[in-house]
Amino acid sequence: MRAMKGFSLRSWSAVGVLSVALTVLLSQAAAAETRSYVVSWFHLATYSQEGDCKAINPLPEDQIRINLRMVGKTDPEIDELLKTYNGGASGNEMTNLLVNRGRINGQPVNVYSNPTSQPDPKMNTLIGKHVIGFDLDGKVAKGHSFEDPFTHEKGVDNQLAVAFGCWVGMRGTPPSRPSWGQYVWENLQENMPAWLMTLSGEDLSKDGPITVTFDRALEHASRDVNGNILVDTAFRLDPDQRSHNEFKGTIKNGSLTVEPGRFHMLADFFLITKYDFTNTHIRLDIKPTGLEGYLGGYLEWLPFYWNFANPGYTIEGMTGVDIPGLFYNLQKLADANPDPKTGFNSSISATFRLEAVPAFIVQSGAQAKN
Amino acid sequence: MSIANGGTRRQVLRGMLNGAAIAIGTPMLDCFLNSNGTAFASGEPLPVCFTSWFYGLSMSPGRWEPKTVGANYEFGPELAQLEAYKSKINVYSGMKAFLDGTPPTPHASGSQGVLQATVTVGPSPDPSLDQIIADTIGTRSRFRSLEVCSAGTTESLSRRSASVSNPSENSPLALYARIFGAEFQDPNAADFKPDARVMVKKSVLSAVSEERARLVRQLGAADKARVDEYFTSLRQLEHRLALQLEKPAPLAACSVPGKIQEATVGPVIEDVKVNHKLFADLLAHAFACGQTQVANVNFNGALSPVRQAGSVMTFHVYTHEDPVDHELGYQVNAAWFSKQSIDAYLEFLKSLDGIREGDGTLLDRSIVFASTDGGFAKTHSLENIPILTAGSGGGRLKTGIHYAAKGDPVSRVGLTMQQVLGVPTDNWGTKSNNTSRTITEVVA
Amino acid sequence: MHEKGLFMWSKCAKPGALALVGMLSGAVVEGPLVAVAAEAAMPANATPALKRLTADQFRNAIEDIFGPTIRIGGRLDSDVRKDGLLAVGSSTISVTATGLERYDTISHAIATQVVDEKNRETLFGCKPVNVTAPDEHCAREFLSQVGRLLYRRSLTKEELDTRVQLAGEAAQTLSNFYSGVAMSLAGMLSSPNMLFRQLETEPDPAKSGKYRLTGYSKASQLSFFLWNSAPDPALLSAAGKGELHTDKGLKQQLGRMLNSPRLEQGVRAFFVDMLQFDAFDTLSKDATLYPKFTAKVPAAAQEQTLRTIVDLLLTQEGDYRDLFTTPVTYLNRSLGALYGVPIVSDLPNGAPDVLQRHVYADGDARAGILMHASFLALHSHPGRSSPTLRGKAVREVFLCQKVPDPPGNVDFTVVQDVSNPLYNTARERLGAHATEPMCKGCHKIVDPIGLAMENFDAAAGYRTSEKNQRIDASGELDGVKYRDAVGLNKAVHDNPAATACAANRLISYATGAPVPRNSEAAKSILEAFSKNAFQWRPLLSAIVTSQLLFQAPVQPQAQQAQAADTSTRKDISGESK
Repeated sequence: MRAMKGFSLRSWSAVGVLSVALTVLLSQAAAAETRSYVVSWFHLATYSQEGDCKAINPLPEDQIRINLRMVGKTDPEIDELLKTYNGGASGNEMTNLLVNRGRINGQPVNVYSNPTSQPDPKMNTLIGKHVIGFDLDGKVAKGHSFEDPFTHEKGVDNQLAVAFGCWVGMRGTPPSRPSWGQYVWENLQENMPAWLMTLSGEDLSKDGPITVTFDRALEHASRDVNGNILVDTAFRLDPDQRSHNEFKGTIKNGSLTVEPGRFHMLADFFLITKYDFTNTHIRLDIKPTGLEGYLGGYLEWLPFYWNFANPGYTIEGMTGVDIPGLFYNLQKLADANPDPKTGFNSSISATFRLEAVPAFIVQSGAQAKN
Repeated sequence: MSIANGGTRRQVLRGMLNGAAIAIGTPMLDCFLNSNGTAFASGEPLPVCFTSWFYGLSMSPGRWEPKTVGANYEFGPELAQLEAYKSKINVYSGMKAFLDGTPPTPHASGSQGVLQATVTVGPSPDPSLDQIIADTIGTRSRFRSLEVCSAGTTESLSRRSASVSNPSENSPLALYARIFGAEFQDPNAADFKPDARVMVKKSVLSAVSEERARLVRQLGAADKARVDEYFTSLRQLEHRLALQLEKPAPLAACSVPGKIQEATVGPVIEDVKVNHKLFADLLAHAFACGQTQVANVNFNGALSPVRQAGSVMTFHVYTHEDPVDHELGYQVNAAWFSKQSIDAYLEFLKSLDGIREGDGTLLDRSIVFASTDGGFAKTHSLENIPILTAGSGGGRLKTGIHYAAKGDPVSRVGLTMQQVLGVPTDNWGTKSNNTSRTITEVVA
Repeated sequence: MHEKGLFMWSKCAKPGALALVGMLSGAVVEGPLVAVAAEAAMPANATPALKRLTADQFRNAIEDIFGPTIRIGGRLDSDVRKDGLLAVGSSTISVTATGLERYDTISHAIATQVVDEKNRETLFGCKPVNVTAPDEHCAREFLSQVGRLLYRRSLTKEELDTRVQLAGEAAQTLSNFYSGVAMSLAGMLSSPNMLFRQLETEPDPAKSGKYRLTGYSKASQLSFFLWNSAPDPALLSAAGKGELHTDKGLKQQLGRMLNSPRLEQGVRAFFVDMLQFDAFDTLSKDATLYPKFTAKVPAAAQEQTLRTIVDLLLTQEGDYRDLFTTPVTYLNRSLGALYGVPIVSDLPNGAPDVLQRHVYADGDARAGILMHASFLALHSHPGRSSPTLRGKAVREVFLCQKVPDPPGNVDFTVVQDVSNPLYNTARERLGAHATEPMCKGCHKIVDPIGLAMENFDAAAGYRTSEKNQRIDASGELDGVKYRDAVGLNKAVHDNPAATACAANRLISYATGAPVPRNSEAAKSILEAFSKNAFQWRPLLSAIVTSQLLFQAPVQPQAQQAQAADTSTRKDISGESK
């Protein structure tokens, strides 16, 4: 590995107060200024408010009763079964009934692998005024015409937040009320190879055109004393092109936006194996401490579903999200990229909170040029 | 074989060694508690007791940490009920477990970091803190350690290796039978058989004292005094071993508890609390009667299945489901369960403190190390894992202190416990969870 | 906040005390400095006769004798710093009761490992006839060999007989040969003959009426000085044959030892002592202000400096003075984040954060060991940097000049209050504080050093401003003016007190005593250091061959010693019957 090859650190004075790490990467060799970052947060943007659901979906306790009734258990039988409830450990009679509550040709089947083997429980979805996101289709469509609470843009599309919005465990208003997405990301920080970003342009302190890149690193991020992501750490760039993304964009008044494009990042089996967005929009504020904002687009939703279905029963017991109910919600609310084979849209509009802190990026040997 | 021997004390000892198989029924010294009851009359302190007291799912961040560090701290609201015991309790905050690239195992990685100073996928091969300590302090008592779980399961965080975990007793009745059943021997009545290894150790030390003459031959007065400081220390050590060879003092506070009633064993919180208190009293009696020096209490389980009667909303479900209340700033239902944990810890302390030994109590010669599996259960955070200790372990630990160390490995607390309890170790753990930094602030 | 760094400077107020000399360097320093050596009014023959092994020496000896697989747990009695060195303090300390208890526990733990089935194959040259019974022959063979290494001399017949007898008795009682040997071995491990090293003398055949160190004592002096560990069999063998008393024999061993891989262990030990790294045990930083100062940083920072030193002094055989300017260093990712330097390794995700060689560009302020976190963070407060502490440490640690303690009743409010809008930078705060006449003299000689390091915060992170005000890092050292840290490094590099200090500290480390006033031997060692382009191995050589290392301690009057011995003896045996 030629660690420092192709790397240039500006003189001390240029590093300045911002302490922003600067690299020159291959594709931005011509740019006058490049700043590099490591992503410190990436999770579904939720903005849960009182009254934004017709009703909150049943808590796990009530959902279990509903599902046991569905397989023909009477209330006294259910009471007996509940006495043996042991927090979700396997081998338990009630667990078996719930896992295999799907029916195909009258035979019990695993409902998580076969979500349509039970009828749509018609779980509540968000009906409030606000979701965080972008107007992806340029339409203020009926039925899902939301407003972004911060930009006040109308016609905002974030159907993923709508699909999840009425389960208590999925609701959140960061930072005071952390959401499920934050919990998942929190779990990955010291494990999953980090996500890297660069901004390049003539002078990043001024308005003008820029290039934004995303890549994966070969190592995970570490934390500082306070548990936040450690600033100014160096990362090797993963040469795997599947996670390389490049956007043309513009800085205006200290915020950046990009021309919509595709965003494809490998993630982690624990979270979701990959994120695949089309029509990706990005909005980030450039601050001395890093980048803060949102990334949204049309997300392929089936990988997202499997992320919940694989641990199925545990997720249901823990978060109350009814897995087949989630499947139907996603299928119904998906709003882009129709699949002629299924007749359903394969992607759903989604917006994620994105934050990044200054970091160094070093070319790994295989990719080092010049 | 010709060995020069000038009729030293070792000959006397040798005679003793040869007679090791014969039980010595007559104590060589008067062995009663000294006037303040903290030690045998001969100066040997009462043995130290260590309890690893585990509760799952932590507390609410920001609501348990004392606002100030050092002595005279004030408990956060979620520890407020411990106020009466504050002078005997230490709070340790800010420390964490490190994953180092290991995929996290929710509700296991954190307790591995605390109790084994390592984080692995699947069971770690390293022994847990209580077993490391038991290898030093628990080898001479009837039970090396006793494990209980009051949440209805046999789950235990005590392990000797990846494959050997020490399962918990989940029924107080069964524990009673195990300790105070037919095999129980009243420690104050039994015959005494001195430990052959201790005899040999003492003999070895006696031989060292014969090395003095050659050593001081060429020394001036000041250096000679330094050598003699060594020999003074040696005599104290010999004295301690001599005490171990004598029939121990009667354990004045030992009494056999009355037979207990069977209670419902299961995850319903009311039952859990009843069983926990029964366990606490039984363990206190076991300590007082010298049956063990190490105990493991698993109050509610790492992935706590504990719930209220008639509800399937377990503590664990609440930690994820329960929203952070907008106005209060914490998860109300989850916090209610956390409170049950700390209430139970208080009950455990009361059980030990209720056994008086001279001027002090059983709690004073104990360390009750309370730990959990993370910092914030909702996000499975491994940052800022709350740790408490109660009792000074017979004066080994300073108490009434809040120690804060942001971002340090939480294994520092476990290392410190090992060291104050005499485990010969200068570091503990693997990778980033390894530490050699004793918390000297609490070492007496 | 506890103000441990700002010492009370009573001497500052007395003008008479303000002129002193950086003695051995010949450099005249204006100000209330005291060259350290001059303070120690030692008699000429003050070589200490008895030192307690430091914790590291005990560990190294065990590891060198029994191999690295033996785990040595446990905290040993702490060491004591005297005249700038723990090595000097080791001549004053003994073993406390709790300390001995720990040694005893550790000794039994070590002995058990030595005889366990994994190790006995390699560590025993013999096998017992019957494992469940004593075997005098095998026990004698093992204990005589190991005993010689542990006591660093041959055991007397009586000592060995006792050890063998103990092993036999214990084997009988425990019905196991190896358990018996382990018991006897444990006794040796915590014996004063192991824990203390004594300089033993014998009449010098070359000089009638004079005494010299025994060959074995010379071997220990050499070995603990150069390797920070016990002598190896080859050195003991040379000592036993009297070869260390001849120039040829000594040079042969010296050459061997200087080229041994164990030399690194010895050089590290000296610098750990000189740079006072034991203070890291109690170092803490404000988490809010310095979030990058993670739990991993203190150990990495010490290792950075030690690797830099070993690389320059041993691997490159470089000039000691270049330690203050060298752009070559070793960093890991945690340190890289702290300093703002990109450091990666070629190891997979999750691998330990290992140190990598890194070379700073010309003129980079982070070059040189003074700009390592091991110095900058160690000599700072938890929540703010301290030009005074840093300046004082440069003088005391690297120039061997003692800065007097400040007087009582000094108001430090101005210095401590970083929120005062009148004073944005440390320079301004100190300027306001040091106007008080009784403080001025001392601040004048330390602050201009420390102010050049103000581009580094209390955790050694780089900064160009404090509270939005650009930091002025200019200063002055003994008449040499500079603009910034790079200039300070050069000034220290060129200051003759720096090399004199290193030589004197090393002599003092070797002998366990401060360098005597006007020592001719010390002077010629310094000359040799200088003549050899300030390389480290020649300096070590010069100290060994100067005879300072082998100076015999004062020989107590034989009769007095005997009388004292008997009386104390009675004391001891009387009580322990």
